Amino acid sequence: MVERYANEIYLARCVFNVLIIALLFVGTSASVVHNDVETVNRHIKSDIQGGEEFIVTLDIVGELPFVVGIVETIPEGFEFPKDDEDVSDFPHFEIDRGRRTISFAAIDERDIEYKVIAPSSGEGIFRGKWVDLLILSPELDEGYERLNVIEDVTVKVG
Amino acid sequence: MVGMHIVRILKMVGSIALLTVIAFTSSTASMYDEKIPCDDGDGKLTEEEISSAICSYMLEDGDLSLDDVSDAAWVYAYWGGEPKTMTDGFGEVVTFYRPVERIVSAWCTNNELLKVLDSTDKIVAVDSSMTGKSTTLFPELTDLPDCGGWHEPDFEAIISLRPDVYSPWLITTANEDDSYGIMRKRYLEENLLGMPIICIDNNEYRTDEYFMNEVKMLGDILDKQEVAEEFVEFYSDCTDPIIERTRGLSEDDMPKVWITSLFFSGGAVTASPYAYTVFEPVDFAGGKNIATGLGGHGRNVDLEWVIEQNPEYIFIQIWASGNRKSPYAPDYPVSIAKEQVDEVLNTPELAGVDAIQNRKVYVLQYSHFTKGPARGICTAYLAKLLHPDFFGSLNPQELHQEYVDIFLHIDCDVIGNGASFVYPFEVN
Repeated sequence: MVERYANEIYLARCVFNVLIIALLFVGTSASVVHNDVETVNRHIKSDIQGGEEFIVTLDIVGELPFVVGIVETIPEGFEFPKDDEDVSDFPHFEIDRGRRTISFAAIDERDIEYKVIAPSSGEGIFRGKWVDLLILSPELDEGYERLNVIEDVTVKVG
Repeated sequence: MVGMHIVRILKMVGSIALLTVIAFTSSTASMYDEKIPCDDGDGKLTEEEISSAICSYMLEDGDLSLDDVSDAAWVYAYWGGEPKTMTDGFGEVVTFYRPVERIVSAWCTNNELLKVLDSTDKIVAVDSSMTGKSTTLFPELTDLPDCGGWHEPDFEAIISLRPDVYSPWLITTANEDDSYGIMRKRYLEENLLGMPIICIDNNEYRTDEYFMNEVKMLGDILDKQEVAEEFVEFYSDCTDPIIERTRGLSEDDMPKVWITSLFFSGGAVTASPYAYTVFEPVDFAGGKNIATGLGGHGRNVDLEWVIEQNPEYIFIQIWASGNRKSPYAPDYPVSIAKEQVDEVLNTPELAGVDAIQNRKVYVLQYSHFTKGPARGICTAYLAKLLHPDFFGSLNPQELHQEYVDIFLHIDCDVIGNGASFVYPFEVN
């Protein structure tokens, strides 16, 4: 009787484990386990000439799925191309030209590029912030203080 | 003159108070809008809608909060852009338009289920009567704000905490005129300004099947599907072999059991004691509940009738919150259980009953044992008591320890503490 009971439990567990593995393969009933986005990096080439249109690249480091909000502020004297469609091919962005800012909504898209036109001379600092929007928190009234900083990049023209 | 000034000041204060209440009420009501944040209201959040909301938020444009945008992102990424629904114990559909991040939970056994589902970090307030006192079982909840008693919620405190959901204690199978049935839910709805209410009902009269379904639904709402499945597996491992073994028992092989409580009679056996009419753990464990078929979940019966039934086992349910501790507490007073066993054993009218003659009288812990997620464990203990020959290899305390280690994550030696759940209890 002792062995029978133990065998029944063992058999039931084996069957259930097989079922669980099968369920994992068909992708159903998986818990939501969000892996936090690690960071966002910015890349700008070093040799920029006066009046040149150049590309700023952002890359998001983290596991899918993710939803990340990003805002970039370009230095004074630098401009975005005149038409929004010339600024970026990224599917979701918005520009505030008055404040020289551009925002992105990155949904499972790691690489973002946008274009900037350099002034005739000078230098400036590209600044930016990002937030992982799939981090849930019971904290109330969280706001912009939760945003992470993208490392500043100083650009010298000429 | 002075009097006029006072009246004017009082009027001003009154107006400010009224405006504050209106502003608070309207802002609270808007917290529970029946739509997904950032959605245009058609019930399906699209990539365009969430992206536009994120871009605007990042430019500090508009009035969306980070919570709005983040909740919408979650719904888009993990819920397919649509609300989730759960059918509660009343058969009513509760719709969730945001992920559940903040729960006010007013019942200790519901909190145990939330703990099993790895979700106590979402609890922001608990009932004053029990949970906050249960430092061994719920150390993480000890310092949380008080939302009133389970029977007398502090609505102002609850609303001020802005939870995503309120979880009360209710009897979802109660009659319509029962004050803890649907009337209770309506009363809560009226006072909680549209806040979603999850009516979890893991009372012992609910079936095993209902309970498993409830666990899965709750796991889904909390996005804890995997741990919910893991728990269902564990629960089945506890109960399935027992049910399989007891299913074939003949009537004669099933000992007669009287399940009672002395809670409503001041700890004494009266001429009309209580009998639980529905108690699935005993059924699963191969016992024959003498009150089955008498209607409802339980009722008072004549003591004479009990004597006629001649139960072979008597189980007395005891309510842990009377001690303001969980039975997991190392200093849980077993003396109360002993007193109740002695009370039944020493009731002269029962002297001829088999259970008394053979000293088969036990106290069962009500909270955190016969009801709630531990009911599968309870079934194992009962099977061991009722059919020691069938279940020689079954060690309920080992299963219990496994449950504690895997799902409760508390430092508790069940074997050293077992008598708090079933008194008296010896493995062999």
